[in-house]
Order: sequence, then structure tokens, then C-alpha cells
Amino acid sequence: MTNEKSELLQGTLDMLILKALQLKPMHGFGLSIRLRQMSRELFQVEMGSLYPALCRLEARGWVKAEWGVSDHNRKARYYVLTPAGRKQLQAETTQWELLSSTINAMLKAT
Amino acid sequence: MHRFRQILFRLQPFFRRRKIEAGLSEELRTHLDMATEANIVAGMSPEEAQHAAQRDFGGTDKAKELYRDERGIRWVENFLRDLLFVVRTLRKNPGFMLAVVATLAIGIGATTAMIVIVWQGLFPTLPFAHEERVVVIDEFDRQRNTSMVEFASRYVQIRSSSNSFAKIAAQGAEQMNLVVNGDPEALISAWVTPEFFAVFGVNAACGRTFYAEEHVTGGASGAVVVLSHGVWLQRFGGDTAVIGREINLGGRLRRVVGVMPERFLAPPGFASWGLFLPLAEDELVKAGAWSRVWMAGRLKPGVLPGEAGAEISALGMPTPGSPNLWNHLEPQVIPIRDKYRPETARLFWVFLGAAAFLHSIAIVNALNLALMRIVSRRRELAVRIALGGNRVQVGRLLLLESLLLCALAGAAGLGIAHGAINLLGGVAADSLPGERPAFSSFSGEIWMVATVCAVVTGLALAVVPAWRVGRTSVQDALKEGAGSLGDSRRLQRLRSMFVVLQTALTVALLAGGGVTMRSYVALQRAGFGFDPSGKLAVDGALETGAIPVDPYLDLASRAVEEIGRVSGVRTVALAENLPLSNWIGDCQVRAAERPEAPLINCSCNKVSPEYFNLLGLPVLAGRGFVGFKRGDAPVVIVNETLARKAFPGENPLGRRLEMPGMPAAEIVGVVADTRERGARAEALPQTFVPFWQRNGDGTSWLTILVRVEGGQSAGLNAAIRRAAFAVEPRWTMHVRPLDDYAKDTVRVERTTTVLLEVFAMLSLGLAAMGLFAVMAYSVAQRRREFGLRIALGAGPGAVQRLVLGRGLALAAIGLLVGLGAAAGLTRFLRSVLFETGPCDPAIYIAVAAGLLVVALLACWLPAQRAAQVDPAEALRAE
Repeated sequence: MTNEKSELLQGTLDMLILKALQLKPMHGFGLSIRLRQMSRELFQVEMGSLYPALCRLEARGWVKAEWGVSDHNRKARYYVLTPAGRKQLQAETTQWELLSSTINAMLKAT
Repeated sequence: MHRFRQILFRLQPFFRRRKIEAGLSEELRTHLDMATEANIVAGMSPEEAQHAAQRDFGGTDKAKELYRDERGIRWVENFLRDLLFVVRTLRKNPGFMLAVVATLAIGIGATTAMIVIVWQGLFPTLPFAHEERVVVIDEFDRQRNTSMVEFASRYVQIRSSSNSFAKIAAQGAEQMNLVVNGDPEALISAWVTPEFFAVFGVNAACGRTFYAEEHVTGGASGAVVVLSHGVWLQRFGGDTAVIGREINLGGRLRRVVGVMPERFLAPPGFASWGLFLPLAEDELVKAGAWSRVWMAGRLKPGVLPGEAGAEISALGMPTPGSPNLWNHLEPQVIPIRDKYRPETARLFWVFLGAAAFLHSIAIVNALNLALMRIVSRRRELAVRIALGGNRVQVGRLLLLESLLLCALAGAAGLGIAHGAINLLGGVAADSLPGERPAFSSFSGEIWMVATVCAVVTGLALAVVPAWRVGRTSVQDALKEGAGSLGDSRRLQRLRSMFVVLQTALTVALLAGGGVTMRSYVALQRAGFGFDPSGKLAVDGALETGAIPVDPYLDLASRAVEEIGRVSGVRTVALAENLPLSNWIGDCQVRAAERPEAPLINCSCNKVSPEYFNLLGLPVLAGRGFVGFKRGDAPVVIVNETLARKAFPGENPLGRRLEMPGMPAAEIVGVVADTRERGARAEALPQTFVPFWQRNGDGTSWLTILVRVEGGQSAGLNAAIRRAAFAVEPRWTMHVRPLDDYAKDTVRVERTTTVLLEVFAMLSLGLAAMGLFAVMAYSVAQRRREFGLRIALGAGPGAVQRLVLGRGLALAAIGLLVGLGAAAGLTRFLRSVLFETGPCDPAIYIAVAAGLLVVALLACWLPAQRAAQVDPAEALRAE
């Protein structure tokens, strides 16, 4: 079962994080759960990829981080999508759709 | 904006590294805790749950590492670690650090100071609004190739018929007594026309300038006054309460209405702006067509000065009269900035060159030191590289070291520059035309220049180490024994070249400084034909226009008596023209019995009999004015030059001289020549008549000369002013030592001499230090060799000679190169040289001797150390 958890395609993690944050601000753990759910338990994001990615997004101004309190009364850093991040997500989604439909078409070609 | 924020984010770790780390740890811990809890809820045992959480999310440490990379923390850490390392290595070798920082600081400081001085000197910030439209209007005299101030009638002409000017102003000048608390002082007041302040676009700093209705004849004109910042500060202590008060100026009370800003100073060529009084335009007309005024205008936008000049030229001379009389004059319109351009601009480039030389010497010195250090660290660096440090990392360390040293030197240099500008700025300002604010050592320029200097220096300093690291052969360096720490022949040659280079630069500076020094001394020694020290000029005057002639002469005699009573005063004399005042009483004379002889252009003066005694001018023949009194037949004293010209080969005594405006006068004495326009000028033919003798127009203008015992002092000056004021309050008194006038004639020479001397001495010090360092280092390197020589029987003297010989050889080569360079460069100084050639042999010999002595001293200690090497110890040290 664990072997089937595959690595994410390089470069898509950022887009998926943005997508996950589109609904509501989340902390790191929440994000990792959410990402797993979104992939129907197929993808497992390691801490070693998740936090550097969050840092990268923060540096680019696409997400903002602030300390808050979790449902279980625990102090946690919440990540919020910024307007710039929203725009970026849209751009990346469009690009991804174009790319994947092209690749699909190429794979189906006989 | 986006990029900027990104950079800020990346720089954060610099200042908040610890906080970011703590935040990360906490965040990761929270994550694990949450995961563990979730696992427990899913039914695992606590231990199992924690384990699973760890497994699922990878190692915490790995996550942290990756995060740090992303966050740029690693970069900051590396940098801080390198910096710490560099600081530690430098601290282990404080002598090296101190030497490099000191030498570079001197270089950076001197260069920065000089650049700031030259910049502010050549391109001063003018306090005038839209200064590019402000112009000065004057008359160019084609015959004498000079320009002179305008005619009052030109103002009226431009006002009525020119279309080029948006505003136009004229200024007259009058010396008046300003009496504050009973202390009179003569100050130049500027009478200004209504648009004067608008032409320059400057408002009062405090209070106001004049209203239009104050520029009317009679009425309010003269009842109000505006102060310059300087007078306000010096005479009224900078108290704003003076505005609205009445002050005693020129014998009447006038109300102060405003104070001008500090930087509002008269441009070069203008009479000084001490106080301002409103001048009515019709006064200007009444003053007569040929009375002189200083004129300035503000051009309409888009009008060029040349166009305005052509327009005025086309209008012709403003007053009818003989056209031939003025056809050598042409009005010209000059941008005001041009007036500030010093005639000595070329000298400023010489100063800049001197600073560049000094800076080069400093850099070469530092380079040499850095080079030695790198060689002695060669093994250490090789070990680093051998152990896996890459060359880039090692090079980065060295670069960081250079930059750190330069940052320290830059900071120290900034301090030096600040002091140097305050110290040398005054000297440099002496050679600039006009009044201008002191050089500012707190300007943006100084920061900019110092930073650029430090960065350039840092890069220069970093090149050599980097180059060496690139070439370090690990194997060779490690193979060498500790005793023979590799110093390649090539490096030795490079260092020797550096020493030669800095010696040459120093010699060039010394030669330049020496030549100007000698010329300055020659100028001083040539003198004026009399000794100006200990004499005061009570400059200023009372025109006979104000008082009939006879009472005027009585007044003058009484003033002489009163001043003579002041304690500390030895002799008092009267003179129409002060010696050294640059005033030439133009007149033409010839021997009365030879009406066919050509007229001789001559400088005519009126003096009291004590004049010659006071100045120490010997009466070479005749009895002088002794025994003559008012009412006697006209007599005259001539100087040697005139005697020679008018009566060649004859005895002039008893002959008669034809002078303008009076009957032919008998020559009763011949006095020695004086060079009143400075030592450079030829002695002019001169005549002196007793001050009571009147010439045609009856005008007279007398100033008082005082010889004092001991030096002058403020108290004595005030006492003299008060004594004269008590006799006649309209007599304006401005006490100034003749020495000051004398100094004025050699301002440029003094500036050049002082600045070049300072630079030459500093560079000599640096070069000596450089030579010493190189010799000391080479002796340390060759310890074993010297030990061997001594062991094989060489006496200490021989070893000493070996070291001295090498040091002196280097100095001698540098000396030759430097003298050659000096011969080429000192000709740029020709304009300030007096009776001294740019290649003065005596100076060159003195420079050579001085340099060799300094070189000998610099090599002495290293040579001594070489001779004292203990062979046993040196050979065992392997």
C-alpha cells in the first residue's frame, strides 16, 4: 500500500498548496492531511518538501503566515492565500490544463 | 516592488535568525504532535502513533535543513562564520591590521578631502533661484583685456530698451560706520535697485526685503536697512529681536527690516554685501552717467546670455559723447556661474593629482603588506585547499578580509577627511575668487566619495590575494619546509617594484612641494620693498565732498594726533592710497623743463611726512618733506624708478616736475622703490606730494597708517577706531593689518605650497613605512640565509651592508624614476612659481638627499636585526 504513494511531479506541489489554501487558511499539518485527501490518499507530502515549499511561497508573497490557535486549542502557524497567490493559482491552473490536455492527446495518438 | 519585498524577506535571517529558527522548530513540533494525536484517535498506542507520525513525514532535521536552504539562513550563517574567522585571524596579527588600516585611512581620507574641496571649489552650490538665468553685466576692456563694472547709465538704457531681461538690478557701494554699543566699524553697504533681490531670487531669511515705496529719493529711502547674515551674527549676536529696531549706520538711524540667508554672499567681482540699503532709480540717473555700478540681471526664459549681450551691444554706448573714447569697451553678459570659475582651476587639478598620488602610495603600501601576509599564509591556505576547501571558498575568505580592512579604513578615512576639510578648506578657499561659504565637511558628497574610494581600494586590495590563491600549487606549498616558506623570485620582484613605484610617486610629490616652497620663500624674501608687519591700515576715508578742504585737513591732522595718543601706537601717518591696496593713483608726469618729453604713466600718492619713516622707506637723496608745511610752494618726492625715467643720468633734486592739476613742483627727495602690487610686479614710477597740497578738482581721500608696538590686538583696533570716530563720526574706520594685504598678494602661492607640502610629507611617511615593512619582512624571510652567512664567517657589518644596500638600491631606483616624473609634472606649477624653475636643481638635490636619508632610517632597524641573527638558532629552527 505504502509503495503506491508516489512522489509528486516536480513543481506541482506549489500549485497544489495554493489550491488547498483556496478554501480557507490552514496550518502545516492540516495542509498535509488536506493534500492527501485531495489526492485520494495517493500522495504523501513529506515535511522536508512541505515546509521549504511554504517558505518559497511566502517569499514570493503568494501566501502569508500568521500564528493562530487550532481547533484543539493548540498554537499553530496558519497560511493564508494572498490576492497575488490567488492570481498565481489561476495562471498555473490554466497552464496546467493546457499542458495536461496536450500530453493526453499525445499519449492517445496512434 | 515585488522584487524588493522578496529581497527583504531573504535578508530577514540577517537580523532575526534565532527567532526564525525557534519558529520553525515550534511549527514542526506542532505538526508532529497533531499527527500523533490523529494516529491515537485512529486507534494506535501512543508510542506507535508517534513513530508512525515520524515515519510518515520524514526526518525533522532533514526538513529543517531544507527549510534553512530555502530561507537563506545557510548563506547568512556561512557569511557570519567567515566574518568571525576573518576577524579572528586579523586579531592574531594586530600589527598587520593596524598598518593596513592606517595607511589606507590616510589615503582614503586625503583623497576624499581633496575631491570634496575641488568639487565644492570648482562647482559651488549657488544660493540663487534658477541660477542658470542669473547673469552679470559688465564692460569688457579690449585694450587691457579685463572687464570692469558697468556705467550707471547702462542700467537706465537696459531698463528702457532691452527685451532680454525679466529683471535687472544695479548695486552701488558705500563704506559707512556702523555703531553698535558705541563701537564704530566701517562696513560696505550695498545700495540696491528695486529688483535686486528678485534678480537673484533670494528672499530674506528673517523679516523682509524692501517695499517698492522704499526705493524713492528722500522719503523712506535710507531709513530702512537689510542685514547680511554675517553682519547680523557678528555685530548683533544673531538676535532676531534686532528686526524692527533702529541702528546707527552712516551717522543716521535706520530701521532693520530683514536679515538675508547665510549663503547670500556677493559673487566674485562685486563689492561685498554687508548691509543693504534701498536705492531709488532716479538717484542712479542723478549720480551721473559715468558713475559705476555692479549690475546683474535675470534673463527671460529661453534667452541665452550671448543673445542678450549682442542685443545690448547693438544699443551702443548709453550716453552720448566721444565715440572714440569708449570704442575699446564692449558690454558683455556672463552667466553668474562663470564668475566663480577660479583662474587657478588648473591648480585644483594639480591638487587632485597630488591626492591621487598619495592614494596610490597608500594602496601600493597595503598591497605590499597583503602580499607578504598571503605568502606567509601560503601553507595554511594550501592545507585548506588540500583538505577539501575549494578555491572559491578560500578566495572568499581573503576577499572578505580585504573588504573588512577597507571598511575599517573607510570609516577612519571619513574621520580624517572631515578633519582635513576643516583644516585645509580655509587654505584652499584662499585661492578662490569671491566670498563663499566654508567648505562643508558634512555633505552627502563626502559620504559618497569616501565610499567610492574605499570600495575601489578594497577591490584593488583583493585582486592580488585572489590571484595568488588561483595560482597556489598545493603540492609545492606543502612540500616546502617551514624554514624556507616559499617566496618566489617573481613575488620578490613584484614587491620591489611596488617599493620603487611608491618611492617614485613620493619623490614627484616632494619635488613639487619643494619647488613651490622655494618659490614661496623667494616671494616672501623679495618682499614689497618695505616690511608690512606691525603696521595697521585704518582703511576707509572721508571724502572732501562732505567737508570743505581746509577744515578737512584740520580734521585729518587732529585724527593723527588723537590716534597717536592711543597707547601702543608708535607712529601715525596719512596717505591717500594705501600701500598694497591694489589701488593705483593713475596720473601722468614729465620734467617741467622738457615739455617735448613723453608723459610718464605714474602712480601718484598724497602722504604725510611721517609716511616714509613709518614704512621704513629710506629717503635716498634730499631732505624729504621735513620742514615743509601747509601753504608752502608745491614740492614732490619721486621714487628711484621715476627719477631714472624722467631724469636719466641726472640729479633730480631741485628739478621741477609737471603734474596734473597743480603747478610744477620741486623735487625735494628720492625714495627707494616699493612693489606695492606684490613681489612679482615691476616697481612702478611713483610720486608723493604732501597731503595738504591740493590738485585741480580738490577731492581728496585720506586713510591712516598706524605703526604699533608689539602686535595688533582687537582692543587696540577698537581704541584706534574710537579715537578716529571721536574726531569725526563720518570718518569710516576699518582697521586691518598691512600683513593681511601682504598675504592677499600670495594667496594662491600659499594654498599651493601648504597643500603640496602636506601631501608630500604624508606620502614620505607612507613610503618610509612601506620600505621598512618590505625590508623587515625580507630579513625575517632570509633569517636562515643570514644565519648561514654569519656561521660561515660573515661579520655583522657585512650582513648589515647587504640589507642596507638592497634597501637603498630600491630607493635609488625609485628616486631616479621619481625625479624624471617630477621634471615632467612640475611644469603644471609654473604659473605659481617665482624665481624658481620647475626643475630647480637645488630642490631636486635636496629631495634626493632627504629621501635617501629617510630610506636609510627605514632600513636601519631591519639591517640591525639581520646582523643580530644567532646562527645556531636560525639554523636549528628548521
